[in-house]
Amino acid sequence: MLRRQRPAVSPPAAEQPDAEAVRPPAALAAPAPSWGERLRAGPVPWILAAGAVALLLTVPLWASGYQVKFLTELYMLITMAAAWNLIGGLAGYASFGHVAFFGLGAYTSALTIVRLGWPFPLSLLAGTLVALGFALLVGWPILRLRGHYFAIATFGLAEALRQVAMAASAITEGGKGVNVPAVPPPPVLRELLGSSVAANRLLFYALMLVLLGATLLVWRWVSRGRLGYGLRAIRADEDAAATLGVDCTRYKLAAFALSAVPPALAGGLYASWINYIDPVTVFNVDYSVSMVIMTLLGGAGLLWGPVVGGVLLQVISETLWGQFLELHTAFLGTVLVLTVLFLPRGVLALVRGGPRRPSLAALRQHLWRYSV
Amino acid sequence: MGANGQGGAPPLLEVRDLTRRFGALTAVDGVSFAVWPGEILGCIGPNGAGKTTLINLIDGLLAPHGGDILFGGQSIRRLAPHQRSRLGIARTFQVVKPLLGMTVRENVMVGALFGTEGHTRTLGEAGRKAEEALELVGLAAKQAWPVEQLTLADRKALELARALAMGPRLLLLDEVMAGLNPAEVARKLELLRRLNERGVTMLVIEHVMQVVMTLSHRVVVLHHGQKIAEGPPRAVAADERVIRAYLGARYAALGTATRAATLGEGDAVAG
Amino acid sequence: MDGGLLAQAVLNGLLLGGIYALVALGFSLVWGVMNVINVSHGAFVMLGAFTTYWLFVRVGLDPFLGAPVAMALMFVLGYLLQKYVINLIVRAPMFMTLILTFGINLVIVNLGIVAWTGDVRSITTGLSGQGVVLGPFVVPYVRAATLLIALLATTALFVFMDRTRTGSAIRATRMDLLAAEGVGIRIDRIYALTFAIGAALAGLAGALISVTLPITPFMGFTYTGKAFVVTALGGLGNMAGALVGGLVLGVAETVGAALLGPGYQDAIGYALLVLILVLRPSGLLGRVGYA
Repeated sequence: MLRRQRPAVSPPAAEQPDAEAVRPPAALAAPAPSWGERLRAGPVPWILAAGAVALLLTVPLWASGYQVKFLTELYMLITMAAAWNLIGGLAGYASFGHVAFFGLGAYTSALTIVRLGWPFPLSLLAGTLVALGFALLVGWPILRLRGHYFAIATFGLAEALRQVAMAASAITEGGKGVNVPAVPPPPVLRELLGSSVAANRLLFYALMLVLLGATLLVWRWVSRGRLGYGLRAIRADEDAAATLGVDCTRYKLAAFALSAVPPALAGGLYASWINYIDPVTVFNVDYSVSMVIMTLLGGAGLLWGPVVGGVLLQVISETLWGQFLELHTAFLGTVLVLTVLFLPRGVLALVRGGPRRPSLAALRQHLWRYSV
Repeated sequence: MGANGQGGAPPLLEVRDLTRRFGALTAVDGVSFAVWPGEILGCIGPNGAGKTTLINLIDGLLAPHGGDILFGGQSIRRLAPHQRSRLGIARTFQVVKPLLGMTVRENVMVGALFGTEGHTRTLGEAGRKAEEALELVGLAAKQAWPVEQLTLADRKALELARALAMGPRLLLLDEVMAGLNPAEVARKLELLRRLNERGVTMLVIEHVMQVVMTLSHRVVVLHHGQKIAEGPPRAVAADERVIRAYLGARYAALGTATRAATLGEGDAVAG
Repeated sequence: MDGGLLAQAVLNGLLLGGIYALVALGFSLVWGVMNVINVSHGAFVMLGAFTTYWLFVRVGLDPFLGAPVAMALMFVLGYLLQKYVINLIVRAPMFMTLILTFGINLVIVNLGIVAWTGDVRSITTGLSGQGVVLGPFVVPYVRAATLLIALLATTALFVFMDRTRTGSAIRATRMDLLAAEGVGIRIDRIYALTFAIGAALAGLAGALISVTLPITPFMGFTYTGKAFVVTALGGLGNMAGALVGGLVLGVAETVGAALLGPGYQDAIGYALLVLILVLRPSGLLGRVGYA
């Protein structure tokens, strides 16, 4: 059975605490609530969050069309990264094919609108259900695999889906792609903004933002509940989790299925927002990559990891590298390499402090421990 | 076999003719024994005798090649590890497996949340159970620590706390004493006795013979995967085959009294 | 379906499978010895293909003579990459090295596109299009030579691992890192050497691909995928398994394409991958380890 296989070279230091880390941190022995903690426990964060959302919602009223598009896309990418953070961050199962759900959502939504004449909201629901069904169907066999096999299997599935979308042209129009009609915006918005285009811009901006907020809330809810404890136990040690009573396959499947929903919704929104999809764009492996990078860069397994990583990545790539458009992928690759080598626990770990705060010494030890 | 003087109650755990091979090596070879409710059964044997394999078979991490395992009279041979946990089987790992990336308290909460069926469902209750278990093993002061910072002795205690938080009916202890100093061993022994008095049944696996001898009601001895002796500690310690297995044929020639003394000392060194 | 066409599809599959086997050989070696899934393996295949291509176009060097040059270049590049980059975290959980090599792949491919554009290219030599006719079948010379070289390379690697001192050191490292270190094997050198051999084999595969199939800077990822399928089919680090797995995948793809249509060729490979991973995780040839 694959579950029992051990890597030929196991990380040597996982078992024994290193001498330096064993020294008890005095500050931790008696955790007195700090000002920050007291603030965080009260209603303040909620008020701040509500204020931030309200502020963000007004952006399309004063920003340029380009800026609104940039932000809408940013929310979409972060939404997918935050969804990936459920299975990749909490359960520690890195999916390299999460774009599959985005593509399935986009195609199902587009095709139900174009071929069956379904209304936009219903098409979103259809896309979600198809992605969910697909996640459950393929998740059951591939989640019994250990992590790296899972990573490659998901990658293979996404690629296979892209090729099916390309080849089954009788249904999907193949490489020609599908033109998706614009969603008629609510009349109120059109009155308010004066044009359908502006109203649609605001509509999709707001929908992506709401989807992002909802995804973060779901993540938070999952991570703090029974499911979250089970998933983190799985991430740490699957054998230990199983002997503690965690039904590992079922929990991983739940996380995987749940993580398929936001990308599917994002895909459905994307199709009606951009009004055109084809297999190359909506099954683009770059989306899978950006989910992984954003989450790792910010901090995997942390609520704000994908948000911080996503904003950092997009802003840097937009401002600094905007002029070297053709080197964009190389830039992503470099960020990925540097993150994995030197900041394996993400940017947020730098500012979070605490006993596991990264330092030059910790980095040196990390590199010493993992090289030969 | 002193196994039948238990007042007619059925055994909590019964292992019948259990066999497990790794390639050409038969790690557990037709082993049978029973653990009665309320009992502490010790299991000893030299390195490589198949003790840890036995625990892995009972808790489901390994599948047996032959034989059967009954828990409360029901065969659990085909159940997954988590299903066995929910029936009330908890274990500790000899090579400790702390859940990295979580605090000490969260580690134990996992046990409380997922342990025995109908045990704990809410986070608040699991938190209280976790604190109770941490109090018992003496880790209460370190409950907010990330597990990465625990010493080996503390990690061993954490294993025990996590298993206890599951509210087990049967506790499988895999060398919980290894690596502890004599004072710590004494404290741990005391704790295990107290737990047993509260009604927790235990299967205690130890390499250190002395620990098992003072703690267990009965002892099973494994050697090269086979059961070579079973009975009260004193009788087992005097058994010819056991001494040969542990110390080699040379010691078997010595007198009984000397043998007992040697065993004690030898183990103190080994521990 | 016509029996003759089917037989020709099987034959084509075997010839294609030779290339897959060669691609997988180095990939499987690196995975088996170093426990690293080298996602940038396909990028080395691509670099090997382009080295051969440019040597042919600019210098007029025959692709089969350009192949050793491509191997040598990839050997050096692989050695340096392992020594100075991957080695930093080579013993970290596999997930991390997987992401690392993924990033390296993105960089190499993008630089390839910048340098050579995304155009599809191919090499046409005097022998292209010619072949020997065996009864109802056509066997193109170039493809037959490719299969032959793949067989030779597998045999050569097998002999190297089995008969030489360095080969035994690599096997020892694979089996037990700490023990190998204990008997005085320089693990860092063995790792760099292993990775270099893997890259050189990828370079050779790329060189052979350049004479039989169209090449582009982003061709690599497909071949990484194939290498993974073949490794899953044949069993990890198993050289004979890589050969058998490669041939099986090649035949499955060409026969599947003949039955379902050419658009599904790659999808069949991935479907096979998932099926194998689920049904028989240790591969078709069973045991994990060197045969």
